[in-house]
Amino acid sequence: MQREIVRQALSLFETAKTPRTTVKALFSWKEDGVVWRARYGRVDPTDKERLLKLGEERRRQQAIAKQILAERAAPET
Amino acid sequence: MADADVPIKYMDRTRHYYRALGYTQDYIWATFDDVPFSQPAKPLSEMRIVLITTASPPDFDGVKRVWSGHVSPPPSKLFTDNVAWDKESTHTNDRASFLPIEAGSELASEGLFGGLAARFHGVPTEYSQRKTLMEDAPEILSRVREDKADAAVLCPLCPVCHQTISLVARHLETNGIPTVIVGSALDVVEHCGVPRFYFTDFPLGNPPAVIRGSLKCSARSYVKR
Repeated sequence: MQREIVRQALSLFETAKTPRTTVKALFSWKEDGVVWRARYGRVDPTDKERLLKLGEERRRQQAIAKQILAERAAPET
Repeated sequence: MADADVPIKYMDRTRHYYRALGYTQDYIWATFDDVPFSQPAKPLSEMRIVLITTASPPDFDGVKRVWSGHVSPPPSKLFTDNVAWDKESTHTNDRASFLPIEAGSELASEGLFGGLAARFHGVPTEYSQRKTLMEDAPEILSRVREDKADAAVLCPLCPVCHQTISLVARHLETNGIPTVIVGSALDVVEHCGVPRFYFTDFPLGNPPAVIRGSLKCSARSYVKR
């Protein structure tokens, strides 16, 4: 199947004549779409506190990274 | 409740998730009215194709940069933990499932296309569209030209990876390198606007697939132009 996917993708170099050409693969995931589509990035209301703490830590790390970049960019005195 | 057949709206999912994390400003995804398009200068059977990924090298040191690897011998693993593919539904232990060096090599040896470029390239996933457009995409173009590649196949992992890859594809195409993106975040790619997109409606992380036995044949397909 992987070969077929790559083959079909490559065929777009010959068949696409205009931009924004989208072709959907003939294959689907083994699991029911209702199951796996519901899973990604779900926000469970009962998980609110944990997610907020996660966000706070993420912002803290981003601030540190931003400061390091600014210090690297600053001219030496 | 998700619909069994409707592609996931990753931009909406991401927006809701980041609001839950406490972010007060929504991310603005890249979108363009105009889409560049380059017709290949030679038949597919003669084209040298370069592969481009958003995965990082196996010894990733935490510093995001454009990097390159050799297709022969192919890497056994790449580092993907730093991007948000669907870690509950799939895995990226099988590098060939998201960077199809072996499948490409086999098809080239059968004469479908001229061959793979000796190197593949990695572009870092960035929320900063400016960094991708001003720094990383030009660096990728430079390396693709060094490789004397005629076209590129780009394989993103996460939602923002799809945006980064779309921006790179647009830059390559603007500079005469035809591209095909093989990916799973339909909304992100079409919102940005790209020349050619081969849409694999799988959990994020395995755009060209296959984890062996993880797919089934479907009668459904569509072509939209």
